[in-house]
Amino acid sequence: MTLAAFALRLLSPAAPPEAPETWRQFRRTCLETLAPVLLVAAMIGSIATLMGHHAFLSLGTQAMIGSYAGLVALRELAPLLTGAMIAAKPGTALTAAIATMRASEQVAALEVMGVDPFRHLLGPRVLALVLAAPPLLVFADVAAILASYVTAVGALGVASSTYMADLTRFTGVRDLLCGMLKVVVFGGLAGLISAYQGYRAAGGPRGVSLAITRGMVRTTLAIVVANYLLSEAFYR
Amino acid sequence: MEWRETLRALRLAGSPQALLPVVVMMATIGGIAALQGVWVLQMFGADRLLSGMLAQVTVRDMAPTMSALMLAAQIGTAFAGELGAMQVTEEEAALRAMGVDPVRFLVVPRVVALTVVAPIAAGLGAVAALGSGYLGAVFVHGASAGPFLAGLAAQISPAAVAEAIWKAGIFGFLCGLLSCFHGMRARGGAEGVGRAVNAAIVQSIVVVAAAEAALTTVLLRVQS
Repeated sequence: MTLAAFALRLLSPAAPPEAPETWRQFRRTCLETLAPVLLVAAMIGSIATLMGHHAFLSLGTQAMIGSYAGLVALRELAPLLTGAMIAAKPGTALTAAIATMRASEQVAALEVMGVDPFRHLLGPRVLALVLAAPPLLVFADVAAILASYVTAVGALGVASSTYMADLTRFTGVRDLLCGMLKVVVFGGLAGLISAYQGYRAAGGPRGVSLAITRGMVRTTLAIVVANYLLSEAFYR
Repeated sequence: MEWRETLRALRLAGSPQALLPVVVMMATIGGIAALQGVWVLQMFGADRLLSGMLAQVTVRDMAPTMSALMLAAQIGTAFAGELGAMQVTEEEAALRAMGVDPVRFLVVPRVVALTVVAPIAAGLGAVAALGSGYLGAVFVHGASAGPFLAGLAAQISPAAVAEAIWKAGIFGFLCGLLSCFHGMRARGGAEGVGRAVNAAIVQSIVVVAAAEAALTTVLLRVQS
């Protein structure tokens, strides 16, 4: 089955994902992914602020660090890292789960029993990744900006009022909404590619591991390229 | 040191299939940084600073972190999977029964390979990012080539290149260590291998981000 055929089968309106299972997977995805997303977002917010401050200073411009951090974090870094973390944690878990079920012929068993694996197994898991992306992004945004604020005001000695004024000057609700659209696309790509790689995995531990590697690399590349295209579309 | 195993691991980590994703990823990052950066800097009336900032951020920070993470995604997961599969199929136990030290024979070569390849990947990635940044700024945005290149050259000092190399080496080492650690700890069939690979990639991302945050903080403090 090609990726396109797989996607069509997944999106087919005749077999929508089962709601209770989707909800269960959604909750699990959010809870599992929250901690690493918060951790990495905070560190990236802090790094971006330090780097930006340093670059602005050494190049002799005014340090408008709040504007810089807000733009970079909300437009690019937070959506990218949320997408990457979805690919890394629930994405690889999805590939592993489907691949082991394929290897032990559990998927075939479902089909024999007349249970549609796309409706009950794959659909809910893929949809859960898409649905989990926006709430995770909210946490990433908050953590990144908070870390940036603490770094700028606490460590670099920027005045709190200056930082807040700079932050709100160039960044607004539109940036947050564009970020939401971005992560929904990233979640969809992560779900689709991870599920596909799991579905067509060869048997055995080696097959599972190969499927995870393929899924992770292809998802990351797809996310980075999609991010580039979406940034060009939104922020021209 | 097991030279033959190390060479095999190096050949996998340094293969075109492993390095191509790094280049593609860094090229898109360079493109975004140039095209979006122009708009951001124009708001401050500072678009002539674009190439200097691009060089600084790409060489010192983006190239080492992103290359290591891409290698963790591609080669780290493969190493964790390989070692995990050897664990659950008891191949590792068989090696040990034959008197082969699994750490020396399996772990050290893989960690060395990632440590060595990460700086090379970072170099390729930096070239790709700066190249696509140049294309974006000069051909799409219409900046003039001379000042752009001068700005680049001014920021790419030997110190910046050295920092990129040793940072990438540290990140590659950390990713290799985590991947092998989780691979060697895998238990319980194909499912266990899946869990090990998952843990390897997630922890690689978190640890590289933490190391980068710590190093950036220390380095900037030392420099200023």
